Amino acid sequence: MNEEKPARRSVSRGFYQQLQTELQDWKNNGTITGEQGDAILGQYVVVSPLYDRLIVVLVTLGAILAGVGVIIFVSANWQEIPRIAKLIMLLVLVAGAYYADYWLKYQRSYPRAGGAIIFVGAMIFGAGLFLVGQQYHMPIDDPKLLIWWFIGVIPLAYLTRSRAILILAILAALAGLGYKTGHWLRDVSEGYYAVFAFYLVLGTALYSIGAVHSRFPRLKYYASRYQIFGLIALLGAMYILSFRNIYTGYHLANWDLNNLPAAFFNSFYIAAGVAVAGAIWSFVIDVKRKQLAGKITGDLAGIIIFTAAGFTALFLPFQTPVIYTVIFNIVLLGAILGLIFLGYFQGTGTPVNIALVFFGLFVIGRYFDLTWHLLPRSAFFIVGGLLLLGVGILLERLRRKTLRQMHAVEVTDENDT
Amino acid sequence: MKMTRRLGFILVVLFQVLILVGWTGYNEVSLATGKEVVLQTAPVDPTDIFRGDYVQLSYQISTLNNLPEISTLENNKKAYVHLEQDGEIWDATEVSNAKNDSWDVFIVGEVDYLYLGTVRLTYGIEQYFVPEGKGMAIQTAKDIKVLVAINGAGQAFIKGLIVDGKPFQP
Repeated sequence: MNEEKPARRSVSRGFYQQLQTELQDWKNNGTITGEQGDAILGQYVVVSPLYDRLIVVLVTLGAILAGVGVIIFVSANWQEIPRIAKLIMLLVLVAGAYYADYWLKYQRSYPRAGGAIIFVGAMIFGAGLFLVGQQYHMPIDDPKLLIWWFIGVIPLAYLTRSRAILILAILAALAGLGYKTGHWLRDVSEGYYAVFAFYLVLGTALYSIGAVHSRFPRLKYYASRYQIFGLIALLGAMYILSFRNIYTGYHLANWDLNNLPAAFFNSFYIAAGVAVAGAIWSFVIDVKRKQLAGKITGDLAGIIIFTAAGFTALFLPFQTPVIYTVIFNIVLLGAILGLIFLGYFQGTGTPVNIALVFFGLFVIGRYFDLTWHLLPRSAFFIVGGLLLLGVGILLERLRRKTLRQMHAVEVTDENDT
Repeated sequence: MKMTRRLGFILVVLFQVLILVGWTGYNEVSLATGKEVVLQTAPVDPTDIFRGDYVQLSYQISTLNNLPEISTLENNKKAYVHLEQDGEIWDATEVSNAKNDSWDVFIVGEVDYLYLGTVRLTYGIEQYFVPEGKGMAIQTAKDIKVLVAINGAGQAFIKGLIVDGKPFQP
């Protein structure tokens, strides 16, 4: 949040306790005096995270209820009110919500309630688009409305530093583009398959946009939201593409790229272009800042691999189904492991959690994937298991070696899960 | 900082208002200045949970056959349909994948599917929204015509329904 900084910074109880322990150690070994320790500690104040979260949950629930109320109001299709009056009413609601947000946030210092109200404003704007569509009897299955919703609210997400609105914008874009792609491919034989290939590159593009954001201090705040939704989209698509029966039989033999409309290809190439451009841009920034390290740049290689996988999925250049199964399973498993490494190196839990969810899905998928015979399936699980165990043991040895080199003592961190 | 933040806020609100007002304005101008034509239609089926009741409409010009240029059309692409008046009703007389300047009145549709010389088109006027519970009067009618305004770009807007010869009052 962007509120003015108070004299004392609110921190979690865990951080405060850890700081207390460290300060005690520093006092004991004479690094700092008792007064200095107290002065440092005095800069922080513990605010119960539960209370904080309670406020966020309540105002979010309130915001959702109010937003849904407005959408139902639109559904009621109240014809007694003239068209223009309804529009003016909506505009007043939208502007009122934004004004209330501004007032609460910056003039009364209620950042959380303000943040929730601005979310209502973004919802009402979306409802307004649907209302205008309905007034003029426009088709409801027009993804343009979702795209306009995205265009209208995305500047707001950056202006107010609201990740909730960013999520709303990302979901509107993902749904709108998916809807549009589905519409283009509805008459194409096996067209759904191309939708998965598209979501694979679209998710990669989102992830790549997040990677660029993470390299600018002022935009870093938004990076994780792009990356989380990008990962969910791309891993979800990848997961479906990893099933063997997609490639066996009818589908592969009848896959004809000439059936796909040009608009689909354009969208696909734009998404792939954004993905690759983002990776290159991030890479150039890292090179310039001399921050080129495997742990930071590893995900950029992932972006290139995923874009390539997207092209493989769409163009299907090989004639044997088993090749695709092998490629997509390796890429999927590689992505899962890569994310776990990335999460630990960056010290963030979210990539690890996403990876673990998809690892679970992956195991279930392969276990019940009846198109594989039992023997190869058992071999896959045993080899995979042994490989992971081996990597784990290797890492443990490396870690011990590093600790020994640094003459460090192993300390358990309570916050570690 | 405070000033730029306030300015930013005002700009974003204006941007959103502009989207809503601009779109409404475009629709209103099209309705007011567009060429009025009456199209023959029949209701198909109702209701959308998010937006109250609506009636799905299928037009006489939604399915075309026996027109020579149908073979030039492609799936998901635009189709330009020449309309001519026949009594009260306007009907399709020609279809093409490009605009023909000699046509007086034309409507632009999108090719839904093509099959053996028959083409199914959508014009973006296939849904008519009615207040909750008022859709049945349309569903049970014997004859439904739609009064449409078509703007210079060939885009159609529903002006009103003519149910059994009378203008429909929701």
